[in-house]
Amino acid sequence: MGRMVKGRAFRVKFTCFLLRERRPHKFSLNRRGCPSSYVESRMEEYGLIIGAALLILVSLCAWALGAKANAGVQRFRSEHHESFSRRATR
Amino acid sequence: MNDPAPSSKPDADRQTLHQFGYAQQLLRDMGGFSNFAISFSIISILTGAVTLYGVGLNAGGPVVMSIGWPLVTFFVLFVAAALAELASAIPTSGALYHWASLLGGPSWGWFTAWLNLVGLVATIAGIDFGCAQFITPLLGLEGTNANFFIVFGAILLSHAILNHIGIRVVARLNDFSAIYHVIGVLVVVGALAFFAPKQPVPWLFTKTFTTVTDFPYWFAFLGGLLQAQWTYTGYDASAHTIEETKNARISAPWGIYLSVAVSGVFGFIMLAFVTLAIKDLGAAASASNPFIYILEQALGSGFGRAVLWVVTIAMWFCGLSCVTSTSRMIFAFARDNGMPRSALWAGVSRKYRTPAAAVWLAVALGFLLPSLVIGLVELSKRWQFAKPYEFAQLYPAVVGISTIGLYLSYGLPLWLKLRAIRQGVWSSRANGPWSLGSWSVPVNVIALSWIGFITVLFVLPPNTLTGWIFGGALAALVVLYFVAARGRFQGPIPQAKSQSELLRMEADLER
Repeated sequence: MGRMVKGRAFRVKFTCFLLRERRPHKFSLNRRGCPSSYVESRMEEYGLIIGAALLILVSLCAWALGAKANAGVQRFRSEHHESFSRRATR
Repeated sequence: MNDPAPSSKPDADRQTLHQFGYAQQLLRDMGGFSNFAISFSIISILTGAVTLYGVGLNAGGPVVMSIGWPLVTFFVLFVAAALAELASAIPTSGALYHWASLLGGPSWGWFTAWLNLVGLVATIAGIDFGCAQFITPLLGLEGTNANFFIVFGAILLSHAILNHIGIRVVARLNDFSAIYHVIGVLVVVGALAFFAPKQPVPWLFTKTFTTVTDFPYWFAFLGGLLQAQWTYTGYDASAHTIEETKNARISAPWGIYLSVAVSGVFGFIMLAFVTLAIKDLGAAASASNPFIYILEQALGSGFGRAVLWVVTIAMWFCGLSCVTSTSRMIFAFARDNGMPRSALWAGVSRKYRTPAAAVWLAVALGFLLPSLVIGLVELSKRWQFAKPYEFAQLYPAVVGISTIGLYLSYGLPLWLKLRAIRQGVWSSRANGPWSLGSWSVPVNVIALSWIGFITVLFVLPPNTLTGWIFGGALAALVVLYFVAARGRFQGPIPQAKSQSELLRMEADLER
């Protein structure tokens, strides 16, 4: 586990999947031993991916529902157009 | 008296209405855009997102805006699509009430109607009282309860008069309101984009900020969804005004669905830019109105004040549409003898072809609710309760009640439709032109699951007061049902026995 030593730069003595770079740090450690600001920045990155994925999902869903309903409306219109033309030709 | 001959052959909209046994009493003058505009105005991203921005920010920080808003939008799209399908199948002003009555019987219809009415009245109260609280200091008046109520009364009066004198003027105002909302959002976003310093985009997903200390973060985040969920209420207005919409079976469902979809897009853009403009998260969260505080910090107090005016006017438009929607609901329910003194509330103004009495009742009920809340606050102080109520504590309860009341009234017909499909009573032939076909059942299931989830969520701590008040209202409804409605309320009643009689009624109104 990593630990803070007063007056000295933070040294990483552990492997943490959230850490890819090492640099001096002055914040406290979290339970896994990762400096909390690194964890936070990683969370923000994951959040960005989750957020982007969610936005794409919402857009696709909105488009798909709208397209499905529009297909129903078009079918209805074509059926009604047919019935009008049949009536007209009689 | 000579029976007037029907002046012309009824068009498709009137014929459809006749099939349900109703005459065309209201003026059918709204186009598709106006129908969309009325729901878009009630959703009112400027109102909902601004007034409850602090609720979301305090509950879960920026993530409530970046993840919470799209999450709620995703599920509300399913609710809107499911309601749109029913609006297309049964295009009457009673909407939710009428659908529930036809699908489940008069008792279900009666409960749906009252839940819808409670939700709509709470929405009028929430919006217009909020508008009064915004406008009072802008007019240079002191922020006392007396001043709030005078301004609140004046706002309601303006809504009542406009709704009384005609759907045409209300529809034009709603058209303007829709454009106004879009321009309002673009002005805020444009100013922030070009003139304000901004945080980096990943900051939108800062996950650990909350001022809620009693509960874990994820629970606080879920509570913050009230911001988005309250904003997405009232889009049943497109269905309530369906008897006044041309090409109703197609225009009104699109109005319901697109109002949610368009609000989702513009709401997200606005919330993202405002949140990125936060300089000090803690200071913004503790401000009395964090939204305005952020704009003032980013762009100066002059711009903050200008946006305050923009939002206040948006709230006024929102309240106007709420009164339209509520009055149509009251009119339709009274038309079927569902209300005390139904004949009075089902009356239509001959001159303006609007449900005039229902308009004034909607406004009166909207005024009564905050009066009761203020009364409760004063009583709790006078009787020296151990913990006297504060208005600031009760106002969010009104917001919660409108959300739960409306969403329960949305959920009942959806559940009854699923039950009818399972029993083989409802087949695809019953669908209107706006239909989701084979997707209908899964869409309804997702919509119902979401409604169940938010109903439970918004009565859990810290919203227990909402739960108690809503529980009390439900208990009162059950008592009222057994005392006054059971066995007496018959559900939708045709106004005439034949179409020619309906045509005669219409001709009589037109004279």
